[in-house]
Amino acid sequence: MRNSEVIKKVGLLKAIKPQASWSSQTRSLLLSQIVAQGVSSTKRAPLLGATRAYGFTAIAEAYAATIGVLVSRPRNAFFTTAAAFGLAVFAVVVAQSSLPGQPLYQVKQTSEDIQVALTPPADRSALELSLIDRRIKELEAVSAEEGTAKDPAIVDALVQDVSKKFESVEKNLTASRVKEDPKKAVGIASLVKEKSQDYRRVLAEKVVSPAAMDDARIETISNAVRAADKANSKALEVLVDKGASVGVSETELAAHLTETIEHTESLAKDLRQTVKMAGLVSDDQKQETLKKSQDAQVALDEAKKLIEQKDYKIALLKVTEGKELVDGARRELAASVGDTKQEGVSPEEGDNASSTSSEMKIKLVF
Amino acid sequence: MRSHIHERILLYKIQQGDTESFGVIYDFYHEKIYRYVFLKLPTQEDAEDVTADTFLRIWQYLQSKNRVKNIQALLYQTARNLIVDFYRKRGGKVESVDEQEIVVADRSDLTLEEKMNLKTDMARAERAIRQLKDIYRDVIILHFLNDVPLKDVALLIEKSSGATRVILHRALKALRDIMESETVGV
Repeated sequence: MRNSEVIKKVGLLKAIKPQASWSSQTRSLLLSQIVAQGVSSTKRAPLLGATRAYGFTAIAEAYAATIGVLVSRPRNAFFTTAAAFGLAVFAVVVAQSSLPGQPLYQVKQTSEDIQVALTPPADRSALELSLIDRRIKELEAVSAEEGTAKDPAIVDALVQDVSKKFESVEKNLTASRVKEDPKKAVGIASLVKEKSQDYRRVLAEKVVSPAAMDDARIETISNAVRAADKANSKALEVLVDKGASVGVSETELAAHLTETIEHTESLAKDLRQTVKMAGLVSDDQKQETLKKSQDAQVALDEAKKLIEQKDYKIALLKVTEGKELVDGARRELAASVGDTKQEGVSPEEGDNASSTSSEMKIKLVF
Repeated sequence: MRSHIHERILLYKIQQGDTESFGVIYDFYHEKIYRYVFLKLPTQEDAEDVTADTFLRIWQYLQSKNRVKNIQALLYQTARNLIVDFYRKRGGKVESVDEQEIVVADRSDLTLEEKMNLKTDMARAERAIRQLKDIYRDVIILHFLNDVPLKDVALLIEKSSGATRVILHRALKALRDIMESETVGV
């Protein structure tokens, strides 16, 4: 074998590349981590696996030096300001590990708000997604294992914060921004899908507890799930529309669509079972719900065929149609459940009916 | 990189905290760094982690205002150090390496048979490269896969240009022997 042949064969390995979605995600995460590093912490960055201890040490040393100067030199405005700044920075650094309800949590939130404000709009979504990740971890930390929140007000505040951030990210995935930088948009979209799934999981497993849920809380959780779903749908649109042009493989696109189909089918199946067990719903409503569920399944089956034919854009339309039918049916059913103040119902029957209707409403949220 | 001056401007901006300029560096180099570490680490996940860590370390290094003349050299040196750390934590070289599914850009210009042949040839080339000793592997990957000029390869492996040429020649010979022995075996 000649050297030229060896070089030619080895040259084939130039095709080794990272997956496009990984490249975009890592780029977005790197830039958001770098922005967030403006206030360092000693925590290991979970996704990038690099310690940021050096940042904390540098700030602590700066603080010590500032205080040392203040003590040794005659006071003046400059050193007083420097010491105050040093204290503030030190407080912000320590605040990063605080949880809702703890004294320094407000400092943490303020520093995050500043970060967001100082971040150029084009990079804001990546930062907001990393903050969503933080909120999700905090939600897990403040919710007890049984799913009963230690302080419902704190949990609700966290849930609302995440919902707002998902709404903001979803709004930022505008047509013009996607057109401007499709690679970044696809990276953000992949992260949105991942985080919205994490959020739903934490809400379902850690936050929701039938014993602690009144209508107002159910509404809060419902809005939260809706915000995550909307962001998820938008992300899927971006992935299907722009993914191929930035190197996302057909296999990945098909996988994203199939995942949504399977999730929607599972919701439709739950819906059919819930309707059968629902003693509090009229027959007309039951029929209507079952019909919508069946129509949704037809649309999803068509979507599966289109995916096999690699017609991803039309498949997405069918998936969206199916999803909207199921979501609409679930909302209507949830709205029709619940008014248990019927004439001739005894207080005990009313209580039992009320808890049953709450359980059903919770089921219809997820 | 478009030119040496362009790179110097980017480095200056990065040291002022400009993340977009860092994004440009990432866009240009991340595939090459990934390819380099992929062929030296056991799994795709390890390669992804080390690649991401490399860029994060570079950012931190640049923020400490250290003077940097050659970002390419810094990237490869950082990646190499991380690979050394990786194996040190595992107590030495990992003996068996699963053949990794190489991600190939979608080649819609090829027939299915051509794609299969391409994957087979690539797998064979990958196996052969992984059997080379470290320094041979480095020069082959840097020069033939990542298009690093020989004088820059010499800087990266800390040898003279002449010595690097000799190493390259020996690396090609070693690779040829491995590939020929595989062909005979088949």
